[in-house]
Amino acid sequence: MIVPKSNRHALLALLGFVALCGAWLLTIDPGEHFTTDVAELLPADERDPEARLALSLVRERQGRVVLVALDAPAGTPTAALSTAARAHTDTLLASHAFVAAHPLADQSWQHALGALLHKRRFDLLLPGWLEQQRKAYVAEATNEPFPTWLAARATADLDAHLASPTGAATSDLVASDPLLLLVTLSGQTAPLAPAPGTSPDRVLIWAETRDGPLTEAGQQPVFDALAAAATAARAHVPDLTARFTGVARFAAAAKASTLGDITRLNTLALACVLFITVLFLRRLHALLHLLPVVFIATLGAAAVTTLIFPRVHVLVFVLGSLLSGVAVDYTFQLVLARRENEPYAVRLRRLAIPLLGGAGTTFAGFLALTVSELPLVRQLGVYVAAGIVVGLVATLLYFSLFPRLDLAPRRLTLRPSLPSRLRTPLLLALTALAIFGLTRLRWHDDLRSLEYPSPALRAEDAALHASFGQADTGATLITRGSTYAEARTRWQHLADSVPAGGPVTSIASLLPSPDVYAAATAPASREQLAAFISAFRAATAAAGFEPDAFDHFHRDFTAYLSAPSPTYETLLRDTLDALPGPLALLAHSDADGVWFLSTVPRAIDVPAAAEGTLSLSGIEGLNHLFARYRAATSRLSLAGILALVVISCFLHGPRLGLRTAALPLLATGLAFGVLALRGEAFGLFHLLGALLGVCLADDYAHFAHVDDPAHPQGRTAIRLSGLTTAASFAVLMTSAIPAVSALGATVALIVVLALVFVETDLFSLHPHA
Amino acid sequence: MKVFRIFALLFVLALPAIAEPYAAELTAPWRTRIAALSKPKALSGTFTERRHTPLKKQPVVVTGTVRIDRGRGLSLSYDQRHAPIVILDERGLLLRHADGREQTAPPEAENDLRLLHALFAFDLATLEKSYALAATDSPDGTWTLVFTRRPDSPATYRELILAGDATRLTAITLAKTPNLKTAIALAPPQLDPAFTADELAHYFR
Repeated sequence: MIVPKSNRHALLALLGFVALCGAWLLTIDPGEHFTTDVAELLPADERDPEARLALSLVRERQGRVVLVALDAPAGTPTAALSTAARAHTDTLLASHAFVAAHPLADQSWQHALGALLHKRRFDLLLPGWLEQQRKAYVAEATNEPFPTWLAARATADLDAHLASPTGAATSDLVASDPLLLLVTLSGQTAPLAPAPGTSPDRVLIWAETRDGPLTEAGQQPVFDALAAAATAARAHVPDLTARFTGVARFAAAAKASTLGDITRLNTLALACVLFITVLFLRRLHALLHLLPVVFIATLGAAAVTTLIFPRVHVLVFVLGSLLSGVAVDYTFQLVLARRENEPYAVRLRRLAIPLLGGAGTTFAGFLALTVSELPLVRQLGVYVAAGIVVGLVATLLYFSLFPRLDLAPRRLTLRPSLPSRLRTPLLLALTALAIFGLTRLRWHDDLRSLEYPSPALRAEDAALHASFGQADTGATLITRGSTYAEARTRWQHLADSVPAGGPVTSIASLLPSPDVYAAATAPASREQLAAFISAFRAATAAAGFEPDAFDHFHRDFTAYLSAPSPTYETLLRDTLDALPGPLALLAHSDADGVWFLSTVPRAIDVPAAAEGTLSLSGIEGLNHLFARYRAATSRLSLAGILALVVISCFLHGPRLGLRTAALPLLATGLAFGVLALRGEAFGLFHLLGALLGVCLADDYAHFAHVDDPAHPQGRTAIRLSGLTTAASFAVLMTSAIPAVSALGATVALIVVLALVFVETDLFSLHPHA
Repeated sequence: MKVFRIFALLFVLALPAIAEPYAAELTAPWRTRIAALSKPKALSGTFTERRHTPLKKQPVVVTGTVRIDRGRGLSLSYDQRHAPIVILDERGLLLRHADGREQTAPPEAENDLRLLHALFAFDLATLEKSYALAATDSPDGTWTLVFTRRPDSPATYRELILAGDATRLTAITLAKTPNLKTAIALAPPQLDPAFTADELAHYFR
């Protein structure tokens, strides 16, 4: 067979494009380029500080925490369970997937905190104590020198403490801490790590993974290590049950479920498209010609999207599965509109305006989304816009290779047409219904609608957190600053301004504020403290203390006074870096600044005076962001619709152009109205569905212009396009991801309504009208 | 058959040892005395506590009122201003401050507190696991029960001593070391006082 030269160029162009796109996609690392992380649906440079901090919490050490509960059968000897727990933690640490693993019962990190505070007690705790004593000294207005007064007061406080009920329990500590700097802290440090409930048959393990939960290394290797650890533990207690929870588990489950959804939806959509096509076409083997076009459109869309975005969310591909429905539209319009003995070039010229009009408006609509600040919307915009262009060009080039291809449409003579006199009243009635429905429209923006629901995992997660003493009541606050000094100062404003009854628990309470630290380390203060130490020795001797009772304290205090004080930033950085176990998660510093976590026992509104403090209420707390993204997407969608109207008017003139644009707009308005009247709450993905629906419905309006009654295959093309698209999106309605389901319902309804409008020629778009 | 009889005899002889804690140390009169001591459902009385610490030449002396309710535990209210009420019961130790704050003991103190609760509740079975017992009667009618920590016990109190006379418990000593100990002298208590609902709520949990 001799292939014409122009066809050779088309073939080469198609093969070259496939080769280029294929080569590019084969070179990229799926683990690096694709993500299932809900957090990555938000911009990395999100300007909302709460969102930025919430995301950093997941990405930083907080997200790497894994909580494990080992449950033994009732009556298991304590020693056996302890050995099993030790085997579990040893296996985790030996796996390299974990950097820390502590059975909570051993309290080793609490002791480590105590040792840390004791070692640095003069740097951390003396400044606050000194500040309090100074205030008391000023209030007393005595003529006694401050060091002597302070020594007498410290001795009296010490005597009172030893006579208190807790005095007997702290004798060992008091020898090195007669100023009671640490003793008075016990009430503050205990709530920092909530006490787990005790059960003789259960061991709770707190562990930290080496890699983040959203990376490959932070998932499967972690699960493997946990499985190996459970096996090691069962060597000592055979019927041991091991449960665990962590962000990694949710992330892995979401990834597996989403990938399963992609496969299922795409397969089902393709099956629906083929089934409907079989109903309309007789030459079934010719349907194989659909596959290359869909394949090239999808390949091109994926290549362009991954070329532009370094990381693409897999949800884009779930939503992008609609391309299989859209890409075949052009095939149907182009191939079914074939007329006997009409050259391919002439057919192209005849269909140029509807093809360009349909594809152009869809392209423009989705192109508008590419300026969205939401990565998912941007990526979806690029994916669909690229897919539309590639799909159209691929269709034109591919079918130039088969100019005589005949899909043999079945003859369907049904051509319903609404009497002209009914069109205007019906239009008015439908418009009124749409407007009425739109007045009932209710927005509900929920970031969780993007997640694959996993109620069993959530229930287990809640149960495990409860076992660890982590109640879901109360509020978590985060106080940030550019430096340690700023963050600590802001935290003080928070602590001073929370309502009564809402004590703030934070590691920051153990750290001196910058001004208090500066006062305590000033040369004048140091001189007074040097004088105090002699006076204290005399005062304690006079009060009946043994001469050598506080040798340890005197030695340490003298060393403290003779060494230079660290700078405030150095002190806090070194202290917080050395925090052990779960306490290390209560503060964080990086190039962007510093933050402290705080908790209050009940939900509060952050006081206005607490600048730099935000309330974190989990992922749900970011819903306001979603509302902002939706509002921004609304504006972009309106811009896209305006472009659609302008393109229609440009192609068809103002009257026909406006009628053409009115069809998709009424279909969309009516679909929204119907869904609103059904009580459906709308979100961002209904809006994206509406934009897509407008573009698709606009395609059919354009194709209606060339629907010649003398050539009924044109109507068949519209019907086939509409029904295959509606089926593709109806398939999306079955997705377990609420956002995908919402988008599917919206588009399917719009397309069905648009098809009805075209069939009844409600807008008088057909040539015979 | 003979072998069976020997085993049966051994079993019968061993039965008291299985059933009764400190079977070898406590004779029947001692058990009667302890039963009498633990008989009152409640009691209330004053006490004087001497805390010996290596830090001070003289012990620190404090006074207060002890209340015991067999179902609710032990409560100590000290005479010092602002001193919290100390409540020791099956759930552990609780300090109830005058401003309403409540403070529990750290988890590592749980074992000691369980043993102290056992001492005040005359729960000899619990004490026996951690302490050996020496019971002494004096000719003047006074007696002492000295509980000495067993070598493998995790208890931090090396010695617990109960002392009394013919009718009542007169002193309790809790010793960690020879010079770190608390000696509590008990005045004659009021037996089975009727605690009001307010008192129960205030002094117990």
